[in-house]
Amino acid sequence: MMNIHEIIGSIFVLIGLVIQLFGIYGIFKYEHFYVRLTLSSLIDSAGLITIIIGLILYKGFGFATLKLGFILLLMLLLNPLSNHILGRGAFLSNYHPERQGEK
Amino acid sequence: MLNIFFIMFAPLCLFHLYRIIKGPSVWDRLLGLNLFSINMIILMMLYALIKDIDYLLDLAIVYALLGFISIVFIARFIQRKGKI
Repeated sequence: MMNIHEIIGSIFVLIGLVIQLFGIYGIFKYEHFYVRLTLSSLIDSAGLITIIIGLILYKGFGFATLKLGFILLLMLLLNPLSNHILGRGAFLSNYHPERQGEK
Repeated sequence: MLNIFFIMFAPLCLFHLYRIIKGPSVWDRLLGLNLFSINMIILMMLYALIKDIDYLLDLAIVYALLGFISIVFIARFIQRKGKI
């Protein structure tokens, strides 16, 4: 028999898994790099934040909650930054996939 | 319940590995590396909560920072064509 917070946490983790599966499907569907970058940032921010919130709700209050919250804060700061750096690097080094076939 | 989630999250690494191996350009490979490190962080957190080992969460923090640093410097290295 599961407690109520374990059930709510499991639902949150399942929502995160569904978001990750949508992102992976989009990465396999679209060939353009910048569209893939959008879906990658979807996986990185929305999926991971939902999964960590679900794990915090599952575990309950404790010392592990502090570390999970620290990972959540770190991911909120670092993941959009890393995706931005990938897009900026690809744009500044003149990588344009839509112009490859025209030459 | 967390064991089932561990089994459900583990095969997603294979898709990211496919993206690393068969990406058309080097930027797609870097994107796959980023997603792979994110998935490994999720697996480490799930394993730490299954086994009740608290210091594995510290290792997850260190792995997140190392993944971010590696992405930043490899992207910078490729963008400037060999000069950091």
